[in-house]
Amino acid sequence: MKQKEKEIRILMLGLDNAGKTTILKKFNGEDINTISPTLGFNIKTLEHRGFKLNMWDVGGQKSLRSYWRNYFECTDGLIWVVDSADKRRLKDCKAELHILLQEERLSGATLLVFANKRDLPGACNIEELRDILDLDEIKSHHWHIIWCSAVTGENLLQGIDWLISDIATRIFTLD
Amino acid sequence: MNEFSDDIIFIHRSSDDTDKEFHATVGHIEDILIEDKFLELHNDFMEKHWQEFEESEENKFIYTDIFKEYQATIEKYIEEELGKKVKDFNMLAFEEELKKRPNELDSGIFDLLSTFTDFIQFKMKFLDYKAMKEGNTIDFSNDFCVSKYVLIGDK
Ligand SMILES: Nc1nc2c(ncn2[C@@H]2O[C@H](COP(=O)(O)OP(=O)(O)OP(=O)(O)O)[C@@H](O)[C@H]2O)c(=O)[nH]1
Ligand SMILES: [Mg+2]
Repeated sequence: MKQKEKEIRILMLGLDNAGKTTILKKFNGEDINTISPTLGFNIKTLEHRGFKLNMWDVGGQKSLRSYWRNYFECTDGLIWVVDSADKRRLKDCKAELHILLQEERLSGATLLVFANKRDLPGACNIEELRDILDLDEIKSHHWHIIWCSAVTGENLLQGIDWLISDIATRIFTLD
Repeated sequence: MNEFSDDIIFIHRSSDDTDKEFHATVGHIEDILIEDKFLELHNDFMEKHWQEFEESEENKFIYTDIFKEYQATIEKYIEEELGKKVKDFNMLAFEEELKKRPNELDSGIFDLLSTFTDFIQFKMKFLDYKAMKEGNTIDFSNDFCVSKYVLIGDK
């Protein structure tokens, strides 16, 4: 008998311009040169390491953030994407992240922080971000931060792999 | 070979109770789907919303509202009607059972049921409907069509 496919639902959020849609498309092997700001949401279903990943990417502009809550349900993994070169908005970024983590419906989700745009000069490093975003305060979720570049594709796989293995050990161990 | 050869390849003989229950439920669904009351409800729903949908890859937030309304009306209707016919009917359990047997159903029913849980299938259904409404297609195969589900054991 064919084993039931293991499905994982991943929600990708972050401030506007962080690179969410670019990450999604790059990961899916699509062209990343014609991406405009997301006004609604994107979904991609990818097969990876025997899992079926349902990835949801919702627009991050301030006026759109109130819609995020409509996509919390059943989320196994939350990817928080940060523009590590946008130092001006890191405070805002930290505030939005910590509000999200209080959400009841996200309480069972593993958190991956993508420190994106590492290829840009002046991008913060992981230690700085960990500090500015107060990541060590997070006790409610399994979390991990990794730098990446959606443009070059560096570290995208490593990040996703960490996320999947954390989720898999949490929810599929009974199989 | 006959016209049901596709079904025959995939269908297992119903041996246990789960199988029997499953097949009975499918039979009831087929009955519900061809009732006027359902067809009207379904048609009204499609007519009310198809113009919101656009051929673009990005989704509008309103699709999510329509999806929820779809579950709250169309799926709920089927669930309630089934509840009258099947004792202790549980839609979620049925949908889980269904996922394990993707090849056992008439594809019309399977496609319809998948639009209740899978947003992408739901969106595609509306885009197909839109294309039909705008006359971009002469293929009406996506229109509601249910053919009889056949079980080897029944013949
Ligand atoms: N240099 C560099 N630019 C990037 C990287 N990732 C994304 N960008 C650019 O950043 C801009 C915003 O990217 P998007 O993917 O649209 O950002 P988003 O998070 O989806 O934004 P919203 O849809 O508004 O929420 C685009 O011009 C991308 O090309 C990166 O790793 N390096
Ligand atoms: Mg975007």
